[in-house]
Amino acid sequence: MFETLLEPFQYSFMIRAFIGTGIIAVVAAVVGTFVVLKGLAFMGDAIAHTTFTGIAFALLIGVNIYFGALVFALITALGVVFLTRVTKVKDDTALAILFTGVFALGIIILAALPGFAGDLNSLLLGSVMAIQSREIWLIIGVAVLIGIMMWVFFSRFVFAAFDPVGAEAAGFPVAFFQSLLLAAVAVAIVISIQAVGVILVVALLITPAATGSLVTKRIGPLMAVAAGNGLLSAFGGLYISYYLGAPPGATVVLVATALFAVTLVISKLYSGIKAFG
Amino acid sequence: MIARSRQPAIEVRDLKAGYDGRPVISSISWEVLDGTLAGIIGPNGGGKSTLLKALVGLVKPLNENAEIRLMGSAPGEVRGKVAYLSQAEEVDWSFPISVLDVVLQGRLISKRFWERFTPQDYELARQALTHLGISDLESAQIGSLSGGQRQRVFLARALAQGADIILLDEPATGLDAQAQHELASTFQKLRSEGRTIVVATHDFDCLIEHFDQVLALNGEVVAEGVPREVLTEDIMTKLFSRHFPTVQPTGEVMIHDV
Repeated sequence: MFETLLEPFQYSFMIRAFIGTGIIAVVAAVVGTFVVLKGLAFMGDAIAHTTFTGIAFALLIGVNIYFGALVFALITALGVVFLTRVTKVKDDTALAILFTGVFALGIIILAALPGFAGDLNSLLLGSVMAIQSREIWLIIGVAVLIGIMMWVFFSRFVFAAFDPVGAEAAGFPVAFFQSLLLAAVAVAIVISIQAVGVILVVALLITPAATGSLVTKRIGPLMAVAAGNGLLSAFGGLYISYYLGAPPGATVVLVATALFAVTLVISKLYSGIKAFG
Repeated sequence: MIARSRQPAIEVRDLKAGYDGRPVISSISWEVLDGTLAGIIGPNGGGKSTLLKALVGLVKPLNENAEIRLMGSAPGEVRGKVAYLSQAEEVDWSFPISVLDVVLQGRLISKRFWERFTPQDYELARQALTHLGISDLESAQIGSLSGGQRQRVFLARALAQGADIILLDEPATGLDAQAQHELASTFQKLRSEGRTIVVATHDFDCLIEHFDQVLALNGEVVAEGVPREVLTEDIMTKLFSRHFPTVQPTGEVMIHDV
């Protein structure tokens, strides 16, 4: 049993996959907690889709793909803050038009790039086994940065999310902290693309945090449960994919979904038992 | 002992304000002395919320000659000393946050943006909860509280902030009569400690019983003064008549216009 558990670790690419995906899953779950609590799942998905175009654009002009993804993710995230504050746009339709248009542009750019078709799959669905050491360091750097940001600004993010009008009236810089949080979401999405790809990246943000919300009604413990859940999904998914030969990114997401479903059933049973005394 | 003369806490001169360039209120001039419990009444859409939001800078004046002074200063200079309690629908009550954590938010206002809570912040937050008689709710989730308790928590946050002026936008909405009177008694207590409290409200019983001053607003100032002078049939008709249909002797239903 123990040997079976350790078997994947004889390969350095698997060690990198476990470290990289584990950290990514924790970071995504932590920032994803705010995404779930504020009902921003759709925006998370929109940001993820626009990173696709950022990567395509980066390939077109010959710069680092993470840089391209980050620029497009930040433009979308901060653009949404601008749209909702300045033009009072609230309808998801505007966001949907924006991100599908940008995504379509990405597909056209990629189609124009000769010889890229082979990599499209890994971009859309992730290529966790191909994580390199330098990418691990990038992921660790982002994790440390977001960890420090959460440690210092956590109560401010909560204030801006809970009562933005009251906070702004007292002179609290609500727009700054909303933008900072969305920038963190954008960065988390960019580093998560390597693990699960553009299409499934929103699952790493949303599903572990949604599972956490079934377990506790306090934001601190919720974030901790979400992080633990993300880590469990990452490790469980990688193990299953290793032994079954399934696509790793999709398996990680499927494990996260299964954990959510199991937690949902248990929480419903628990409330039912409690209600009947 | 020399009695301190009361100073204007809120001064508004010729204010026109609204949204997207369209005025909701205009020609508003109003003064509230410190240590006053004042109410703002008027029909929905009459500008109560707009006036409160203009006082804290959430809505900008549409005219250049408008003047707003809070405790003798421009609103931007005394923001930490003014607390605005949002309408219930503007707050995310499902947010997983405890009462103590909400009250602690009042301490964030005066902090530099990288500073974290200190033991003194916790002490001040707990003092504020005790002052409002809800220290037993410290660990409760905000969403599990009644409407009256939620308002007390927000008042505790204003106390933890150190606010001298507290503005409340329809805090009595959804409260039963007893809860409304208990809340008004809390306002009186805070007023007696020297704070200025301004409440947008539809609760006329409490106005007469507890409040010092009333502003009747329907786009413009319809009347102002002590509650018994403002809450007259004449002024109420002027304020609300267009909103209440009446049946004419002929059987025809009329919507009055002022």
